[in-house]
Amino acid sequence: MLGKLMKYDLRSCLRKFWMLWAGLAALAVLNGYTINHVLDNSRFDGLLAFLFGVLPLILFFVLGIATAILILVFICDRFYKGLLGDEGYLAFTLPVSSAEHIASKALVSLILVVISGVVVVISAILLFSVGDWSNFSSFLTSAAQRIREISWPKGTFGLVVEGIVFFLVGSLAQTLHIYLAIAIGHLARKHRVAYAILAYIGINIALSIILNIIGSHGLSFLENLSFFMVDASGFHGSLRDVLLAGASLILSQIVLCATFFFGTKAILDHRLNLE
Amino acid sequence: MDFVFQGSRPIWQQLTEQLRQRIVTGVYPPGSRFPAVRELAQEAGVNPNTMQRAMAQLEADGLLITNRTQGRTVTDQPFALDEMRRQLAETHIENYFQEMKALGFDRDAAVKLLGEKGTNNE
Amino acid sequence: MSNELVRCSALTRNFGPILALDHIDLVLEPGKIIGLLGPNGSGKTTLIKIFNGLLQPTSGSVLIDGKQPGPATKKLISYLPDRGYFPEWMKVGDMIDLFGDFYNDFDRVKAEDMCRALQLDLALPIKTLSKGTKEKMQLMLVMSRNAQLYLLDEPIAGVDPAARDFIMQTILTNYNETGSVLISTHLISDVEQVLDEAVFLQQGRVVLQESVDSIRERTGKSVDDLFREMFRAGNWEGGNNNAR
Repeated sequence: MLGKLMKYDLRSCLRKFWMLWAGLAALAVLNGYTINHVLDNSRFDGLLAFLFGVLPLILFFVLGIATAILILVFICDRFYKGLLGDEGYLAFTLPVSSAEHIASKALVSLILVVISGVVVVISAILLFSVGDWSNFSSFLTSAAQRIREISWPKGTFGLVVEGIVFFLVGSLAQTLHIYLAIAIGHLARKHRVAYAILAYIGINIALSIILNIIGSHGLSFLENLSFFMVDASGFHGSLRDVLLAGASLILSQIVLCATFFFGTKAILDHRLNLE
Repeated sequence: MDFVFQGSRPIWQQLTEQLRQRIVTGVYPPGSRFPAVRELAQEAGVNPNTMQRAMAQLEADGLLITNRTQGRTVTDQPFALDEMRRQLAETHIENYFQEMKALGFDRDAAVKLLGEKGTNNE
Repeated sequence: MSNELVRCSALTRNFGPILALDHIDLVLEPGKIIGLLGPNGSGKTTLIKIFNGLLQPTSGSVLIDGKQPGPATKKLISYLPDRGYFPEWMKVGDMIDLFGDFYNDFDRVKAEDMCRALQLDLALPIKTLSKGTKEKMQLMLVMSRNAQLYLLDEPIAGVDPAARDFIMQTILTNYNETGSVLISTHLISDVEQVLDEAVFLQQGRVVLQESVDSIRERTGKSVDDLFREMFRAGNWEGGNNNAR
C-alpha cells in the first residue's frame, strides 16, 4: 500500500515541479550559450550585454532560489492540506495506516529534494559547458586526471558516503520536523497554522536545550568537531574518530527522524479531528 | 402506473394491496412471470426487504406461486383470482357504505341511490 | 458472519465542554438500510466519523464486524462524506484508478457504467464539474464498491428533488445486500420508504431504534410525522450546533 500511496503523492509532486526543472535546465543552456559566445562578441555592449549576459544569469539564480522555497511550500502544503484538510476525509478512510501516510509523504519530499539537487547540478554543468564544449571537456579530463593523482587519505570515500547519507537522513529529519509541528498545530481548535509555527520553533528550542545537556555531559566526539578540520597537512586526529563522528551525526539524525515520525503518528492516530 | 404510499401504514401492507389490484386487473396476467424482488423494489423505490414481505403475503393469498426453477409466477387458477377480485370488491363496497353513512345515508338509502345511478348511466 | 455489523458500547465523545455522544449503546445488523435521523447538532456526523476511524471516542468502544476501527475495518466501509474530498489535480478517471488501487471490493466496470449513465467523461478534471455533478460522482464511487457497511452522511441535502430521486434510486440499485447502509439525514420523508429501520438521535443519545413497519403499525404515523412530533421545537432545549 505504501507504494500505491507514493505513486499518487509522486504524481502530484511531479506535476508541479517538472516545469520548474525544465525552466532551470533551459535557462542554464541559454546562459551557457550567451556567456560563452555572446559576451565575447564586441557587438554586444552596454545594455545588450546586460540583457543577454547578466539578466539571464540573475533569472537562473532567482529560479534556483524559487525552487528551494517552492519545495518548502510543497512539503508544508501537501501534509497540511492533503492529510488535515478536506482531502483528509479521503486519506484517512483509505485502508492504510497513518504510518504509511506519513512515510509516503516524507519519502516523496525526499525524492523531490534529491531530483531538484540533481537538476541544479546538471544545470550548473550545462551553464559552463554549452557553447564551449571543447574547453569544458578538456577541463574535465584534466581535473579527473588531477583527482586520480592525489593520494587521498584512506577514509575519504567513507566520508563522502557518510556525507551523502547525512544529507539524505538530515533532509528527512527536517521534513518530519515540519510534519510534527503541523500535527501539533492540529491539536488546537483554532489558529492551527499559528500553533504549528510556534510548535516548529518550540521543537527547535527543545532540540538545542537537549544538545546543550548532552554536550555538557561530555560526549567527546560531538564536542571535538575540530577532529575533521582539514588543513594542508591532511586530517587532524585519527581516521577512525572522524568516521565515528560522522556516524554519530547520522545516528542523531536517525533518532530525530524516529522521534518526529512516531510523535506525528501518535497525534494522527489518537487526536485526529478533521473539520 | 406509479405506486403511491401513505405515511400512516406500513409500506408492505400498501404494496400488497396495490400489487393485488394489479394482478387482479391483469397488469400482471395469469400465468405470467412475476418480476424479481430486487427489480420490483427498485421500480417502486422501496427497500427490497419490504417488497419481499409483500410478495410473501401475495404467496399466502395464493396469487403468486414460487417455483424453484422458474421464480415467481402469477397464478393461473381462476378460483384464486376470482376470490381476490371478490374480496377487493367487497372492500370497496364497505368503504362506500361507510362514506355514505358519514353523509347521512343509511345502508338502504345508499343501496337505493346506487340502483338509481346504475340505471341512469346504462 | 455474526449478527452484529456495528456494536457501540457506552460510546462517548466530547469536544471540550460539549458532549457530542453520550454513552451510546447501539447495534446495527447486516442486510438492512438504516436511517440515522436527528436534528442538526444531534451527533450524527460525529457518530459516523467514529465508525470510520476519523475520530476517536473519549470513552466506550465501537466494533465494526468485531474489530476496532483501523485499516482492516476501513476496507469494509464505503463512506460518502458531506463534503468533497478530491485532490484538486485529479480527473474523474484518476479517482476511479485510485479506488481500484486501494479497495479490493471496487467494481471498476460498474463505476464506468455509472459514469456513462451520468454522462461523465473520465478525462474531465474534477474541479471543472458543477457541485451537483461532483456529488453524483462521489456517490458513483461509493456505490461501486461491494462494501459491508455504507455510511452516507447527508447524501441528499442541498440537492434538488429530481437529483434526490436519482440518488435514492442509485443507492437502491447498487448496494451490497449482504451488507448494510446507514443513511444519516434530517430529510426523512425522502428516504423513509427505503428504510428498514430508524434510529433517532437527540443530543448525543439514541432515543429510538425501531423498524419502520413497527413504527407505522404502533403509532399509525409515518417516521417523518413521528420525528416531527418528537423533535418539535418546544420539546427539546435546542440543538447544540457546535457538536458535529
